[in-house]
Amino acid sequence: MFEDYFRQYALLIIFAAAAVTVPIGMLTMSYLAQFIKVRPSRPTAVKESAYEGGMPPFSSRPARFNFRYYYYALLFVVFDVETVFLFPWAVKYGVMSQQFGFAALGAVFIFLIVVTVGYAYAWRKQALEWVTNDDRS
Amino acid sequence: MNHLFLDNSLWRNIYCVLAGESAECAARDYSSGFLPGGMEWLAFLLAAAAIIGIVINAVLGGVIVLIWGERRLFGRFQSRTGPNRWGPFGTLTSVADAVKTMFKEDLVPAEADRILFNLAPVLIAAPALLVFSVIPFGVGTYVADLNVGVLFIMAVTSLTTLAVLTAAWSSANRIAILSALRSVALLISYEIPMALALVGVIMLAGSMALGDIIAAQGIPFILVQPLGFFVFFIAAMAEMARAPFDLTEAESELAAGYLNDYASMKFGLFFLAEFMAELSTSAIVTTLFLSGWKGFDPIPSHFWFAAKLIAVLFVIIWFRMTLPRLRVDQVLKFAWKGLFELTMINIIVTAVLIAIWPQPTTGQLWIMAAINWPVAIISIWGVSKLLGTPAYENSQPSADAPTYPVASESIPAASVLGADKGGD
Amino acid sequence: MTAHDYWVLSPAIAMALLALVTVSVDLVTRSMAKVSTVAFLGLSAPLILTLNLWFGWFGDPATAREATGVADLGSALFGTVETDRFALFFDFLLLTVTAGTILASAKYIASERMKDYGGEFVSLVLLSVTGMIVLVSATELITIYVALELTALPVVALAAIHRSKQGVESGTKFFVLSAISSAILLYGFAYIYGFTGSTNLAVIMERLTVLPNDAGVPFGSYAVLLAVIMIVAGFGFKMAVVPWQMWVPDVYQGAPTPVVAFLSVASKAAAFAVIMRIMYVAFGDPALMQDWSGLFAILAAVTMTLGNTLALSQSNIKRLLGYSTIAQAGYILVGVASVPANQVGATFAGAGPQGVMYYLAGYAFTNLAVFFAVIAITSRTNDDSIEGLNGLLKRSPLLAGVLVFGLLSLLGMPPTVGFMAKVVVFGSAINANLTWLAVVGVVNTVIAAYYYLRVIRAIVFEDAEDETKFSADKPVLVAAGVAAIGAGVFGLAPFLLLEFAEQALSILPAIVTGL
Repeated sequence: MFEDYFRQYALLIIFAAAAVTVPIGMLTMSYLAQFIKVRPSRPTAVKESAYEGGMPPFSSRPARFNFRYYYYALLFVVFDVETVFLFPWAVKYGVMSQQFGFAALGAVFIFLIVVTVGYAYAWRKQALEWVTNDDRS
Repeated sequence: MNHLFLDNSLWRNIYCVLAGESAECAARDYSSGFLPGGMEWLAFLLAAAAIIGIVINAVLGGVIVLIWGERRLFGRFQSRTGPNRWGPFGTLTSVADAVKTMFKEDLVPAEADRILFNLAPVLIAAPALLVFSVIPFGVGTYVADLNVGVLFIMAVTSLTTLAVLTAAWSSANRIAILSALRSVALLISYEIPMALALVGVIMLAGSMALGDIIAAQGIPFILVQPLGFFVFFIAAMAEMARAPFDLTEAESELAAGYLNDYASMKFGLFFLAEFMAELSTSAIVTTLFLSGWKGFDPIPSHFWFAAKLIAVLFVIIWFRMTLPRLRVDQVLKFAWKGLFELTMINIIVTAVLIAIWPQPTTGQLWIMAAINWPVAIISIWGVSKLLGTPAYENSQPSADAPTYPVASESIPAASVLGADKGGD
Repeated sequence: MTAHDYWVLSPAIAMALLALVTVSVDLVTRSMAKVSTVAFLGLSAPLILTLNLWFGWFGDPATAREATGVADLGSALFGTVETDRFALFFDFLLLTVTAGTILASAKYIASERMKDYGGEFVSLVLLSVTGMIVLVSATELITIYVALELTALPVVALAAIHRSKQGVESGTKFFVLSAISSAILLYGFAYIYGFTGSTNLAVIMERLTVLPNDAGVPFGSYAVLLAVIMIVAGFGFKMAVVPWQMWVPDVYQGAPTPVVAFLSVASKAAAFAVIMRIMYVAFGDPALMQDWSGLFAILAAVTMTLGNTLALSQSNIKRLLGYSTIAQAGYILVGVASVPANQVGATFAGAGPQGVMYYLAGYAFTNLAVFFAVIAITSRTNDDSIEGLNGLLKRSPLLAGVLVFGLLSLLGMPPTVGFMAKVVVFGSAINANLTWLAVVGVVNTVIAAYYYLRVIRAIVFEDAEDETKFSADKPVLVAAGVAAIGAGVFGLAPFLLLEFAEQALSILPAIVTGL
């Protein structure tokens, strides 16, 4: 019915629909069990409060958190983009090195050198540290 | 895309039995289908429903078996019996658990964002299930053989990050948010070595389609890519957030982490997703590094796949039982300072080898393996030396270190929480 | 990539690697003296590679040139980059400017407030230059855009490197406006691509001549008209021409002075190079040339007039120089507008573009001399108002001499390069039947005399409150001195640069056909 290429995606879309339907169906079944008196539903104020290890909740949200999470988020963006560049290159690399020889290797070497220096920079500037010595002193 | 596999696919067989006279099945020996002509769309949907139903049910059944098996193994590792009451050898324990989970009372915190709170379990379970759509379980047994299969897997598994954050944010719980942030830091940190570890495999196979990658494995890529396997396996364990990387759900520190306020079937879905992730990770490792369903002949391909899958699962469970939980700083340091370098070494060495032997034959793959193993051992040793123990862990606290306030002093709540630099 | 691609791209690759080496030296040694030394000496690598491309000492294209007789270095990366002589001319210019900037900022990056970021400072300058080197060689719209972003983003970081209130303000302003101008530029590129179906400049020209066009509409189609206006607007920001000039005074005042020196010369030269390449290669059809010539003529007149008028009331020397550079951009635009369409029998066949290149080179030396002198002076006096320059002649005669000479050249006094450049540019305008533009230019020069002479008067005739003598740091002094000498030499012997420019221009197809 479809070309091979599009058929894969048509099947994938059907699978995705099924993958969403299954958990929703499970939740719905569990929810419907409430009406035939199998699943209890007796909420109280204590049950509905946030669970913080059994103590009464300390305060409402949000919690403060370490700013270093932002460092990791930024680093992730930088190096994930690197991955995006490397994947297409990797697919065609065998063909390219057959055609161009070591010139294909050189191109990616320049790229990897740039990435490596960036990585060394981040390391040296303590962007990869969770706790730096500065924090301790 | 490899048309040999497509033509023999289970989907195609079902389709052609239903709609025999269509052009796609002309080369086959189906004299006539069950459906009349012009009903190809129905045949398409029915064939799709059949194979998707098989895969989803197999996965859900597999999870039930996996939970039982894992608990039995835990028992053995800890010199006890494990679950043994329901059914022979306790095989029905997981079934009983599933029924119990479904009929428990469902609690939603009063301050929760209800839409997101209900969305999060679906958001975590659906991608975990979707990964299985591209995995070949045996010859021709797959839903779709995408030409960007590896990329698809990376994309879908990274949706977990979003689900975790949604769950934590919507439940309006401080502990959940701390846990989710840890989790996100962990997930995104390990995603990079995980993706980069696969670059070597993609280079060797020259394709991102899983069918092609299996076809390219003249010998299993674990032999050719030891470093890639090592990094990918560890990073994938971290992505699952299982021990020793389970600091997002560290019971002793964060109660149950981001699924703190979830109960009943919603909790069940998180639980399910976790085990599905374990299963899919093993399946991906099997496909990419252990040559998937390939084996020698009298034993059918599906058994080879299952045997390799179980072997990988066993190793994962073994790791979980053996290693203690890591601290958040150790986890992140390991990803950024250890695994990342190893992947870079792997990419460079593999690139050089492929420049020498583009389109490697099996014999050339053996030569690559012979070169790659010493490289892997030396570089892992080197990186472990490099990481070592940081200076501050050995140093004595200095005399002017901050002294913590005594209990009698009244201090504002915010400053207590803000003072803890080392934690979250 | 083939070996040929590396050969053609070698100056850019060498520059990028130099940037990485510089930042590595900073990481390992933490010594700013070493960073400056490595960066300055390392510039010899791209310089040698550029010279090699110009003279064809070694590598494959030397044979190609002998066969064809013209400087055809060939294109690289599937025709997206072409390091022809036009590009090489600007490579030399950019390398000179970079060397000067690094020399002049040697003391600055070693200062207390900068020493944690010194390596980044030099490395960002080099990365920006890498972008410019690619930019001047790019012959394809997407490459131009990517190179342009590589040029602009490091400068944003450089402008905000102090993290002071003013620095962050100037950085943010530059960033936002740079992003907006890039977006406008991209829209223009998208229209061109949509209209012609190609992003390659030469192919665009072919298609534009073939495609049907409406008579009476500029450029033969409103889509192309819109596209050209958007492209000019996008580059207008980089060239700092009116009405895209408003970032200049604020950024010049807030950013560190070495950055401003670099920005005012290198960015501008690269932007003029690429706009000339786009206009002459993609829109080089004689019918189209008259259309964009008019556009640039109007821009030139407005830019000169507004820049000079606003400069009259400035009291801060850096702001004043900011407005001065806007006015200078206007003069250069006169050269861009003077297309050599009806040049048969004229003295300079390609006078317009040739004048632009001569003016840009002369302006680079002059402006660097002025800015380096200002760096040397303000680092001692910590006062960048014009009153702060009072009596400079008595306090530091050498710096005063360089500054006065530079200002006279910007003004266009006869023995200097500024004078010769204006003569060439205005002459080309007259040749191109744009006499009114030449007149506007001359009137503007007279207006400009007021504020340049005001500064010179302060330096020479006013009395300073503080009479203590001072001398500049050696590297800045050397840089300023060399720039001033360069300005003087090229003013006295303009044929040196003009011949150089003429050789460089032989590559632009429109110029060749215009002959």
